[in-house]
This record gives sequence, structure tokens and C-alpha cells, in this order.
Amino acid sequence: MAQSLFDLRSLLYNCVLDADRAGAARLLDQAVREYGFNPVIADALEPTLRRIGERFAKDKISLAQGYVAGKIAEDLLGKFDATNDQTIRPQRGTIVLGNAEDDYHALGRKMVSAFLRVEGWHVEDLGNDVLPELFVDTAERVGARVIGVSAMMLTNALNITKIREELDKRGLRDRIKLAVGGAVFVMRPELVAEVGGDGTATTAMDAPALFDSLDTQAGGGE
Amino acid sequence: MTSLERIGAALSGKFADRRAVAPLLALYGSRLAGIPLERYYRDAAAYTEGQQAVVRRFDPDALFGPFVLAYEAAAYGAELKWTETAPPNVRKHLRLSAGALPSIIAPENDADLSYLVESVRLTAEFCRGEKPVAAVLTSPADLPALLLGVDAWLEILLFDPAAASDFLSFSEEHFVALASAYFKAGATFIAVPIMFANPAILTDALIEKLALPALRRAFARASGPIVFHHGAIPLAERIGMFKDLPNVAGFLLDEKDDSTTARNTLGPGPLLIAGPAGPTLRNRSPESVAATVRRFLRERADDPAFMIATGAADIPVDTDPEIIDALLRAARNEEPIDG
Repeated sequence: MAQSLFDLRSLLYNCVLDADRAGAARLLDQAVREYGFNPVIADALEPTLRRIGERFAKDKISLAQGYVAGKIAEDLLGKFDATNDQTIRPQRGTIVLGNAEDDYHALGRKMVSAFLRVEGWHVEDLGNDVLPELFVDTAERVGARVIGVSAMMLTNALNITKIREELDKRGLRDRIKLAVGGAVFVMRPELVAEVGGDGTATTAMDAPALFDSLDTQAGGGE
Repeated sequence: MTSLERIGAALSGKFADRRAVAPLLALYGSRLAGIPLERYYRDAAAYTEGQQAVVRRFDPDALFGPFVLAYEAAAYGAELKWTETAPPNVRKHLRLSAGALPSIIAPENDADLSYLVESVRLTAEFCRGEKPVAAVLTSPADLPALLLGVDAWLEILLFDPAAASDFLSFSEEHFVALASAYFKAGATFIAVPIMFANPAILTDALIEKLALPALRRAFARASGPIVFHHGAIPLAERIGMFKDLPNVAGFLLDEKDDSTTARNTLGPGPLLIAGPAGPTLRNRSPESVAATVRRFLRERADDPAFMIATGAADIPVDTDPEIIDALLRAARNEEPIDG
């Protein structure tokens, strides 16, 4: 019996709370067979992740549950990518993402990447320990208007300053915005300005709204 | 009254001459003694020199061993990153599989672990039984995150419970070996930062099935008292999950925690410890730090089993000493407490 995409949201939400990745995959596979990828992503996955994000922001959900939400999104997007049909989802542009130089804490970055992709962004993920020049070179090459940099520890977060300097040196301050995130920025919000960041998000699920806003500031949508 | 007697009174639920106060000044000793971190964190005598400088400048009621959890991962091969302002941290995690875990490293057979134990031994010797010395030790639930990285450990906990059990068993043995060495070296208690048993990190099901049993088994084998450190995450609302862990003499709360909630849940027994988050001190005013201390003192005015400390991690080296003075004054300038 087919279930509506509205009903699917509640079932998916419960799968995230139970950290049930396999159960979510079964539900989503069945829904994709009935409705196709685009409606399932737009009308079931996206609203569910937003609901999870709201709960995450109120400290009512664990990191593990947030991680599973990211995995569920990754799993579905992986299957979508495998169809090689890139025409059926609108693309919102490209984001460059990576961990700051010397930072190897990939968890937050991977979660942000999954949530951005659900919202229709193409993510150029550079991985861990990324040099400042590579961030800026890549953003220029792919035409990204936002660079997102993750760092867990203070010492690594301070390396983000070099990305800010590189952007300014190339005269890109207004054209490419710098989003920063990671545990240290939650504990020390003043660090965002100290390292030259243009904004931050407290949780991975808040990241899409931040990137939307920074993209607009950098001239996106004009 | 000595510091040891003061904290002993709080532990046994009696009021002392004043509240005990113990900011985490493990790192700060390097600044006071003018010792570069590469030497401070390699030479136990240099570390102790720093802690002697801490006593001369601030005279806290407890000292700490080095807060360098990364050394426990380095003992098994993790690559470290050194900076001029903070203890070394893990630069690159290991690729370990549950089926091929390394043998437990005895602390005396590893330079970094020996340094940790020797620093505690020399600091305890210097304190001559007048001040407690706390050694800091990674929890069995958290060591795999240090070894493998947070995401790899989370992935195993969530999706490979058999492998998670193997890693936890390995971590329990490491914990027991290092805890025994610390107590033998003269540690009064061990402080154990715990994140991977907190409901902010794991689901209740994973905590109950994997993390809590590992803590219970390891703590039961500790040969001395343990302070459950909040791991930089609020703890009070769910502290009841941990109230029956063996050998836990006290709980260090997060600055955001409500100490009354914690006390009501735990009952009159264990020591509660709270104060401002250490890493935030460098950017705060003395007034803000003192206000936090006074808030906790007000909350716990009728509670003898309470002391002030700093939470989360080390107080940064570039913190103005006047901010630490303000914290100490606020903790010590309370009206005399009758017993």
C-alpha cells in the first residue's frame, strides 16, 4: 500500500531518532519506486531534515542521531547520483568545503556536505587538512561564491585566518564569502570574527541557511 | 586546614573553613615558569616546576597532572601536532580494525605515558600530602575516538556493535593500566572527561548497551576515586544515568548546568564541582568569571559536598592572571561557613 510523502516524513523522523539507517533506506527505496527521486527528496527528506535540525538546535537530539540523518541523506543522494540523471534536480550552485589546515576532524564537514547536497548545492569537498591556497584556487576554478571551513580545535581554527588573507590578497572579499564552523566556534563565537569568517552555523543542519545567506551576499541569485 | 583536608571534608559531606577551589592550571604552569611547551610536555621535572609556580602564584586547593589525552593515542601510534600555546593534540588518527587491535602499552614502556605518570608522581611528591593531585585520564568510551577520530568511532558504535565491543574492551584494559599507574604514582583521584556516554553525543540505547557497561567495568577496577568530568557538554539533566557508576566520588559539571538539578538527582552523596569553563576565561572579564562562581556558590549554599573548579579544558596560557585571581577571590571570599 503506497504511503503519502507526508506520512513518510514521520516515519523517516522516527528512523532518525532510533538511529535506524537501514529502516530509513527501506522506506526511501520504496518511496522512490513510487514517486521518483525528486519528490522524495523535496517533499519528504528535506522537511524531515529541517525538523531534525530544529530539534538539534534545542539540544533535543544527539550527535549520533544527527550523524544518522546525514547518512540517510548521503545514502539516498548516492543512489540518485548513480542514476546519472542530473537534470531532474535543480542545482543551486557550487560550495567549496574542507577542513582547515592541520584539522583532521571530518565529522562536521561530512554532515554539512550531506545537508547542503539535499538542499540542491553541488559540494566540492576538499577533505581534511586543506591548504588556504587550495580553498581559494578551487573556489575560483568552480565559480563558488562560498567557501566553508571546518575546524575542531582552536589552533587549527586560527589557520582559517590564512584563507581570509588569501581571499583579500586576490581581491575576492566581496565575491567569495567565508563560512566557518566546528566545535570551537560554538564554544567561542568571537573566533568567527577573529579568523575573518563571514558567518557560522551552530549545527550542521543550520548550515544550508547560512550558505544561502552568504551566497546572496556574494551576489548569488542576481 | 590544608587543601587536602578541605576537599576531604567536602567529599565526606562536611563544611570546611571555606569552599575549596581548583582551577585547571596544568597548562598555565608553563607560562608561570617560563618553560616552552615542547619541554614542559616532555620533561616531568619541568612540568612539576610549572605546578610549583602555580602554587606560588595562586595556591589552588588541588593540582592536576598534564591534560594531554592525546598522549594516550600517541602511545598506539597516532601522530601529534605541537603548538606554542596548547598541549599537543592528535594530528592524524589511526586506521585500526577491531580484529587487529594492538597490545595494551604498559605506561612504563612508552615515553609519553611515562612522562604523564612521572609528572603526577613528582607533583604529588611536591605536594607532600597537603594538596590533592588529580591525574587526567581518557574514558574507555572516548579512547577509540582519540585513536580513530570522532566520525570513525561514531560509525562503529552505530553500525558495527561487535567491533564497538572489541574497541571498548581494549580501551578498558588501557584505562585500568594507566589508572593503576597513576594511583601508584600518588594521584589522589583521577578526572575522566566523558563525552561518548553523554546523551548529547549518543542515543540512550547506545549508552545503555555499550558505553555505560564499559564505564562500569573499567571504573570498578580502578584502585582509587574517580571524578566524572562533563567533557565540555552539559551533564546535569541526565546525570542520573551515571549515579551508580562504581568508584565515582564526584561530578564536574558544565558551566551551563543547574547544580540543583544535579544534586536533586544524585542525592546527598557525591561531590559536585562546578565553575566557569576554563577555555573561555581568556576572553572574559574578571567580573563575569566571579559572577559565575558566585552563582554556583549561591545555588549550593547549603550543600557541603561542593567545590569550585573550572570546567571543559585547560585555562589558556594567554589568560590574564587577574581573571584567575578574580575566580579565586570569588570562591574564597564567601562568608565563613559554619559547620
